[in-house]
Amino acid sequence: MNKIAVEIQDLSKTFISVKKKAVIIPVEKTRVDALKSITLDIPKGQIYGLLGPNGAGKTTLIKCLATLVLPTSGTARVHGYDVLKESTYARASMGVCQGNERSIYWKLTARENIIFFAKLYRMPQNEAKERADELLGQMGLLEKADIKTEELSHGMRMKIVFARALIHDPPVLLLDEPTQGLDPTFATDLRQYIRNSLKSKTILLTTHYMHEADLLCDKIALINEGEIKSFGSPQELKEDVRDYDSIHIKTKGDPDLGLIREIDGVMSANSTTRNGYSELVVTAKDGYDLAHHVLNLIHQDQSARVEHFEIKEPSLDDVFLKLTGRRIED
Amino acid sequence: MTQTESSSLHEKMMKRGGLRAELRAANALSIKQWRVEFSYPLSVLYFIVMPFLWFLPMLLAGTAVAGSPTSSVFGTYTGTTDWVTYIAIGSAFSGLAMSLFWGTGMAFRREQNVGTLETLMTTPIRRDTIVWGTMLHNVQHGGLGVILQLIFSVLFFGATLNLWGVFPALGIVVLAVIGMQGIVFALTCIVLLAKQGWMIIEVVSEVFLIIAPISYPIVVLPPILQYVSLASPLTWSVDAFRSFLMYGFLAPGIIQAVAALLIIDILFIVVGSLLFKYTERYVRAQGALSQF
Amino acid sequence: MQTRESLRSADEEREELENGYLTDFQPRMMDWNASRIFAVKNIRIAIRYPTNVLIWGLLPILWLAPYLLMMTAVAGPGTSEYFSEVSGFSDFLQFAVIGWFIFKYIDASIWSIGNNFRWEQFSGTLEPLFVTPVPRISILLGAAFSDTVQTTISAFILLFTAMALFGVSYTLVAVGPIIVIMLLMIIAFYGFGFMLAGMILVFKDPSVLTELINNAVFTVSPITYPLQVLPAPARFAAYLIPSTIAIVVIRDLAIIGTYDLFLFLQSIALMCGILIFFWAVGIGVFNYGEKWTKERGSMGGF
Repeated sequence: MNKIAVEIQDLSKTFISVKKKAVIIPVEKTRVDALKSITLDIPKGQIYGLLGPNGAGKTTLIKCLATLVLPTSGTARVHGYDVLKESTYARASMGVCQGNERSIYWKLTARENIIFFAKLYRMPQNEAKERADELLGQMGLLEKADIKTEELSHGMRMKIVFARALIHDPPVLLLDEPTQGLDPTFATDLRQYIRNSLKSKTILLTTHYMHEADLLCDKIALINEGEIKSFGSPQELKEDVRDYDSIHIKTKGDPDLGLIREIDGVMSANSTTRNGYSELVVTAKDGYDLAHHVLNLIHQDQSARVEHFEIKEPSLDDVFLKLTGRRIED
Repeated sequence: MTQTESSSLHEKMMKRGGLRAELRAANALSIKQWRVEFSYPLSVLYFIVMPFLWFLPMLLAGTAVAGSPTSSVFGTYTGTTDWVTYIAIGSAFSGLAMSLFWGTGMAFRREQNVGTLETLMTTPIRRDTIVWGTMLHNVQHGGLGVILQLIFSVLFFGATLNLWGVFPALGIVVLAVIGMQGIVFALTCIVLLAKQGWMIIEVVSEVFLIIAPISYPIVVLPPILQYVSLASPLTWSVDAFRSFLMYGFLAPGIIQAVAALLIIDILFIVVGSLLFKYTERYVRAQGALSQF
Repeated sequence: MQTRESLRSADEEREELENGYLTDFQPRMMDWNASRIFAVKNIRIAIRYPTNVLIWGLLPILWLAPYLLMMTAVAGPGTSEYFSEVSGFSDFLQFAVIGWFIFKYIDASIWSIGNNFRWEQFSGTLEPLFVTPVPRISILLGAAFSDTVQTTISAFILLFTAMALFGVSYTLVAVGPIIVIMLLMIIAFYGFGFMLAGMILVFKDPSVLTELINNAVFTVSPITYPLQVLPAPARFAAYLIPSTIAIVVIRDLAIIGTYDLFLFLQSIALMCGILIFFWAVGIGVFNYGEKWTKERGSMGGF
């Protein structure tokens, strides 16, 4: 039996948008390479994360797998089924949850929504009913099951959206930003559910919350501009950039960057202004060793006063920054 | 929930498939649409008075020129002097056509507007089942409208129906729906491709209604339009449907109408389905499903 | 950090602002300037979609032609004895086409003016509009005015196309009185539109409500057939619609070219009465609708 649940081979997607004049005459063609030859295999029972900023290609990849977008080239198989040639079987083998509360019917109740979609997953009425009760029970929504979705809170709707993806108990789950916009309690609930109750599933998850990827994923693919920039477990990725520490200093007034850069051992020094404060980031091989030098220097410089200071170990965001020169949450 | 139970749930689904699964899905789509509609109380009211509102101005316009419920001029055109019954049945049937063109033609747009289209597309049902399911709903919805309107016409406006024709007329409805579904597939393509698709739908469906013998025989149309009219499934459906309801089983010219309808049906449904299949693929290749 | 100077200048600025704007600011019943700005905005947007005006001029032909075709089938081409007897006109094609011209204004008052806030809501600009210190009725009036401009273009496209298609023509002898009646009708329709806008705020389900009202108004209006074929109560209801008297008078003026002066003045007086009535009712219903939604907090979701 195949141990790989999701196989992505050289998958590319190019969008061509044509700007038209007078309805039909094309004047300008723009090409956007949303995915550039992505290859990724996800073994059964693993949670893989796609981490990247908006527009990196995460959602396009998920949509290609979900048969919503046709790839320009390459192949992908879900649970052994080719998403192009055996798309019905592929769809039947995966649950797709797009983190969009609009993806269910607001005019129907939670129960009616689940039963409706269960029938699209080929279940007869009685089975669909049982399944709805079971899923709504797991989500803690049984009491609200007969209230119209439009009257529920955002978090509850997202739980229904999530439950909908689990209706047919699919071996593979594609979760596109499942916790986006959720309040922290609901997000934590959902993450816990993913970790504890979906152990046997193969999951591909996109997110731009680093701590979520860190917490949930066995392996992470950092994706930017349609390419996988780096791949590995969260630990492995962070080890990659462990070759330096970063010192974060918040000051009132602007410190002299030139002087700081001259300090022996400083690899880089940059500052940004936020809310009237300067936020200075200094990287160095050993941040603990260097910190007092930097602080002293700022102290002597009359124009800036230190408000806050910390030495940070690398986060996934730093990994991303190092690889691409941009931050994930930009 | 244990692992064995859970995997059996998925396996069971994988085994089901086939026509039965698609029918179940179509039925679920239809029921869902009823639920959504009934959450708007005014639409229920509209549904009841709609037959009156469509038929009344027609009846008044006819009365303004005829002065009585029979007209000899009308008799020379159509073979019956009873123009009230003629247009009552015709406009009742046009309600069904409008319901199919608008309700089903716009189904993809509606699902997209509420945000559920992509979710539907990730389920293992065939994509044309979404269109068929909505059609099922609109046949029920529009069919109920036809029945209501016919009852009103008989009770309040003096139309007369031949009850022996009811069953064969239902057969005609089935044939009519198949041909119109071909048109609906084409309309769905327009909706998928064009941003202001509803405008094109409006024009296309109005043209189909104008060239069909709904409230007048096609001989009053300009000659070119009369030929175009013969290629429309709606033309033959309305005529056959009305003939059965007016003359019963042995309606004149009925064999010709049914034969023509069968041929046109096959042509329309094949072309429509193919158009839909390729358009749907094209839209996915463009990646424009969520923003068309 | 803010310095003393910058604080002072901010104070001064505020003072200046108060002198120039806030101290003068008085809540007004009607803000004509806002209406004008809003109308210009709408027209500017409309100019970007020129095909809309054309399409809305041509589409009604598709809706209305079936009536003429049916009348032809029932009575034979062009005319019927009975029709001349009831309506006083010989040619029902000529009779109907001028009716369609007016129908465009009826349609616009129901669909465009009544639904204006609905469109704003779709484009996401309703709430920003509602937090401005402008009476909402002024915004609506501006919208109504821009709709009139567009409707007039569409109505003429409809008139000329239908005249060409059905081979009918009209006389321009009495163009002055026609314009007077048209203006009164259009202004009366604004009140009618305000009333609908208020109802739409309350009922929230605008397409069905609008469709119902539109159909009902169309049925009782003497557009394709004369009022005389309506049962008496319906004829009475017809006179409650701002366009009914206008259609009757304009039709006479455009086909025959003359109208009894006394009857004409009487019609003008009646139109003025209807105008005042609809503005009063319209503003009343709209204000009530606005209050109703505010109390229930359903503005965002309506």
